[in-house]
Amino acid sequence: MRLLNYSTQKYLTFSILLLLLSIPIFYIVLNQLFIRSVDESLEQQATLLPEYTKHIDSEEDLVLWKDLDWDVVVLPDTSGLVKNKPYTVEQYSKINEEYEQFRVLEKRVILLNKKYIIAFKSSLIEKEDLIQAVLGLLITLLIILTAGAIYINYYINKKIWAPFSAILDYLKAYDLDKSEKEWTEDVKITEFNELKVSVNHLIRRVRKTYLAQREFTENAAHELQTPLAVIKSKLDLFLQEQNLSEHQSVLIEDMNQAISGLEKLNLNLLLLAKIDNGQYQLNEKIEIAKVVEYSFASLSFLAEPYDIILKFEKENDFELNGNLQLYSLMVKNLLVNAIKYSDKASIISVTLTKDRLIFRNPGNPLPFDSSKLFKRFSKLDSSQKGNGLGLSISQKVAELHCQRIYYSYKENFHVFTIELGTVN
Amino acid sequence: MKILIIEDEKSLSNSMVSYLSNENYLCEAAFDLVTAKEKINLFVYDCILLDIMLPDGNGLDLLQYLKKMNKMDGVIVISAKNSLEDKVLSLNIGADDYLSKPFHLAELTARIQSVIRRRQLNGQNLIHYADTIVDLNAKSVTVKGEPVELTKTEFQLFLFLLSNKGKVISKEAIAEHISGESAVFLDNFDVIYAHIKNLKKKLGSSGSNLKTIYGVGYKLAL
Repeated sequence: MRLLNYSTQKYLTFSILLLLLSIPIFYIVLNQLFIRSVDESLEQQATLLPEYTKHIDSEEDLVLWKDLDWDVVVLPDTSGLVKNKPYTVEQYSKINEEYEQFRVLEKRVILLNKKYIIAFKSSLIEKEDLIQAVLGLLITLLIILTAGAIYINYYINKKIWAPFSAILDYLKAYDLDKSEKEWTEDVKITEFNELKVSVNHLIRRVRKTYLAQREFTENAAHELQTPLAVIKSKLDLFLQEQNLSEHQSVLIEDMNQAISGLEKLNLNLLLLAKIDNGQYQLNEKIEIAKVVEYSFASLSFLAEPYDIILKFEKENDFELNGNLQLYSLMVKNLLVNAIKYSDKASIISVTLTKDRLIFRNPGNPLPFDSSKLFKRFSKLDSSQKGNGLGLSISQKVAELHCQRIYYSYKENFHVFTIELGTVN
Repeated sequence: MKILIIEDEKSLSNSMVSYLSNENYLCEAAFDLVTAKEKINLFVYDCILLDIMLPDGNGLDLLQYLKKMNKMDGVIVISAKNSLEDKVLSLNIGADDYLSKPFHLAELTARIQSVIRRRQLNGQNLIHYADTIVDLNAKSVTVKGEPVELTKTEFQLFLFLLSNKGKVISKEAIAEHISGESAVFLDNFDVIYAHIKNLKKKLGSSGSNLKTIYGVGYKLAL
């Protein structure tokens, strides 16, 4: 949910809740107020009671008064119980011809030496109308106010969060490899200004670290090449010594092998670092069939002496844009693997279908979990001589070309499949 | 044959001088660009080995200079940077070959000979060895006048051995030479033994000149 929608929605919900809650409160308060005013007028009338009774000298006067003033009821005091405070009763109204509420105040009085209860009455019929009118007005007012407030809130929020959105867009578009510029827009709000300063600070540091790391991996790998070259050349010279004993030769051979391993490790790490750093351009045209054919030619020396046959089944052509050097490296690596783990005189087939490149070679099932295959530096068994980077690099290269590579074992065949995707 | 080695790492430079001098090459070493320029202006070389990263500048600048002076006589660029861009750039400027560190001295020798052979455009593209003749143009081999069928790999291997005859070549050097870029994934050199065995058999009498040195490498007698 977007920030602006969220705040507006919350605001709206709470406003409606408050509005709904305020209506009964208003109703109750208005009701109370009205009844109090009615009660006050009844009390006032009651205080005038002596004024009225003063003029009553006979039974006739009493009857006349009773008949004239409909709001006054005179009853003989029989029960002796009189309520001190006004109360509400429902009675049939002769005027409106329906039941309606009255407010009544009773007073005890002695007229013509007899005890009477005088009840003052006031109809509450107007109350409902009045409350309705007032409530209606109030609600309309509240709705207008709320709507206005919500709009203002929306408008202000939009303005407040504008720099935030801008920073967000800036961060989203930021590319460590390319962008160098910092975020420079002016911000009025202190917090956002702090955010801007922090973001810029962070980016400066991340970029510095990133460049340093990139430089380090590359430099370290490059710097290693020269001492390696020195050792390698000295060993080559050592090998030319006359009267070299068998023991010495074996020592040199061991060193040669170690140096060779170190050199390959170094090259592979450099390659991975460069891929990770996105330093390979992906704008060359790659014809997969050609890559496979070229790989066959350059790797035939591996298969030849063991009578291993490399077979290419091209069902389709497939072209894509990418890095030819890396892509060839991936194909060659998979091919080298297939040859390395095949018995004499086996047939290794590479099939190019419309959406897959499949490498198949016969062999016994893997003695380990196949999920470890693509992990960097995972030594799978003690006999394995490689540095365990080849397949990891192949996977990286496939990912770089938006392709997926996976392993399966089917009917005594090791199968590596590259899903080529749909980009043609 | 005169060779100029422009390489600032003295230890490596010494190795190269020492290895190549045995091959009847006259080697001179320069450890920086200034000395290299002086030598280039004074002498004519059959081949120049040029390191890219030098203490007083970039080797590629010297390459440009050589081109301007029209002295592009067999330049092999040597770099610690195994980058395709550098390689393409060097070859575009006019270098004859590009070799990335670390390399085997046997590989260097093979490259130098190939460059010098290409420069000597006298049509003489035959190599005589004992009773064997290698025709580089036709990529064919005859032993005692009889043609011998060699596979591409065997031919390549034989040429490599010929370039380094009289020297002990390690299995690693042979493997790297034959596998080229694929060497990165190669971790088993048994395949070299198989190729050597086949080559030896096919070469007959000349093949007996190819000696195995205690499992460390091979040597083609002078």
